[in-house]
Amino acid sequence: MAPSEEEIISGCINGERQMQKVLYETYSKRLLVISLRYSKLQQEAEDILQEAFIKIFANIKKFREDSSLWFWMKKITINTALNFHRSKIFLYPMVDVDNLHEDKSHDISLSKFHYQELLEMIQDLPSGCQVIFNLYAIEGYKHSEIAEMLAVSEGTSKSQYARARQLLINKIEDKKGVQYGIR
Amino acid sequence: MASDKTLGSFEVQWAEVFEHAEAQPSAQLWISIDGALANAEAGKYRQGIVFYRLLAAASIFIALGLGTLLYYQNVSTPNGKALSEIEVNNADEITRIPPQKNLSKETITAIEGDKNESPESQIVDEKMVENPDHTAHIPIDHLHNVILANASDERKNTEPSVSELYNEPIVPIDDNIKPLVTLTALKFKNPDEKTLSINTDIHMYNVPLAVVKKDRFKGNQLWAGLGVSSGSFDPKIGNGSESPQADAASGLESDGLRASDNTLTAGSEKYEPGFSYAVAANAGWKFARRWILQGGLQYQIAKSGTQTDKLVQNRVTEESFAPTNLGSSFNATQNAADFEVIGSDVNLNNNFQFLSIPLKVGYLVLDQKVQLGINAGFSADFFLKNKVSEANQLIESFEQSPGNDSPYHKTFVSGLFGIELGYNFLDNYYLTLEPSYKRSLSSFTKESSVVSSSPSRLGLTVGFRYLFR
Repeated sequence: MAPSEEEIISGCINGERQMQKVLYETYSKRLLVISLRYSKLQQEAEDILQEAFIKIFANIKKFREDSSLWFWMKKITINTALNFHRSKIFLYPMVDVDNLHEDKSHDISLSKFHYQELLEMIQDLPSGCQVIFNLYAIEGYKHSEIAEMLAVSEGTSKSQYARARQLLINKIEDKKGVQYGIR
Repeated sequence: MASDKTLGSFEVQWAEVFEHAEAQPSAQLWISIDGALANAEAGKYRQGIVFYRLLAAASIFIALGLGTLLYYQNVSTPNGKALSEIEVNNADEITRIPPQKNLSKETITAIEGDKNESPESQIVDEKMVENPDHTAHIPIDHLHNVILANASDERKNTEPSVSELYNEPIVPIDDNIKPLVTLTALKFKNPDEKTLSINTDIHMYNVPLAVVKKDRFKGNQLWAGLGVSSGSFDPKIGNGSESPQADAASGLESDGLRASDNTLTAGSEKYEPGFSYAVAANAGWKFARRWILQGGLQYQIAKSGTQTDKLVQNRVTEESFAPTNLGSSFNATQNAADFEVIGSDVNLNNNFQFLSIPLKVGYLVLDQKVQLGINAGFSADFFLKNKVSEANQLIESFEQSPGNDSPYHKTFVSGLFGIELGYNFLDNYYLTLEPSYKRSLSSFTKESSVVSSSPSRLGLTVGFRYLFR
């Protein structure tokens, strides 16, 4: 019988390696995809995930059981990835754009794509664009929140996102079998 | 996160695609996490060892400091004699003797009589006494148990003089200077009482002191006791006569897994110190005033760690082993060619069990209500067994017992050193605290072993003793 989430958390708090491994096996596959979205290479993503799990095990006693374990672990993984790439993000020049025009009329369907193809497209983005696209489009942060997290201006976040969005649309259009649709 | 922001379908699609996406991490990832967690745990372990070492060092420091303080508190007489060595007697007052210039002396070797009846012995009470003939005050507060002998003729007419007692005239040299008779010994009627030796060289405010040295040694004292101890344990493992490097140089090691004789070779190893706990029953014999001989029986559990970078698995049975220089559960009859390396960063926990027979000689630097002693000696240590386990259960636990197949000697000899602080209560009982260091003098591992071990232990023992009087 598989242990419950409470038992896993309790075991991890007590430092039981068996329970730590159960927690790892339960969540590592999904967390690895998050790490991969913020990385360029598999090895880099695994390094991030390793560091994230060590933080998770070290801090699990601080986890409040009234919140979601998955979101708590996801947040630690994203923060670890941001710290991992923080120095690289600022290597790329960012142009402040206060009022970026977003072209929402040009909708694209992603249903024909496997997530790995889309993952590769994200990984091909410049580092700054990659991070901000992940935070805005997939994690759902606002530009003001991203600006605070990355210590950049909100305009920089918007411009980097616009750039990422355009690069991804170009990549999608270049692929065979792309389907356009109007919502 | 922005729950209220308006996302276009482009963003929503991206979020949906990755919401439940999964990717398989490499097998090495958990091994790396496991290794990092083990290192973190080892760090906590090391912190614990540092704590025990600091505790032992602090105990030694406190024991030495307290002993020194007590020792010097007992030295306050002008000639450096310890006042704590002066015996208790009843007394009422003290008389001061004039300076001893141009005095004739006569020695009385002994006075027969009860100490309370003797007119010649004026005994100290614990108060300040004013001499009516002299303005000086004699501080007596610190002079517990001092007998002062006075042979001057400054006494009441009703008291018999020394000369009267012995029918020997004491002739004054002149009218101003009175003769001084120096007592060298007092003897009591009661045969159990000791003779009071009077040291004519000891004068306090010109008063010769008659002292009885306190003699706590009552001959052949025996005691028995129990003790518990904890401390650090360091296996101190180093290269033996046949080091792995030497094997590699001679070409024995062929492919990092198997030696040329088709036996598994050990990986690169690190040895971590650990903790030890012990219980002991002991007995002692105080064979001289300050010398003690003690022995006993001690059961000890000692823990240490071994990190190795090689975990192998039998392809046929799928059993995993961690071949180390100090043995493994690997059956030598199996064909080493059937094994493959499947992991690294294996953390083995050693749980040694020993039975020891210590024999120590102790010297009591301080032998009062509080005792301070220095102990040194030897211990015959018997290896009982070692249970080897792996924290993550990567391998099955196994036991190593003394015997021909064991890498360890069945017996070895250790040297002991300790500083013992004791406190005497209710006459027959002692509480003891002893920081001690133990180091093997002979190798714990056999000569045929690739590595050698000379375990050491820094510990703190708390004990209880009963003194048979």
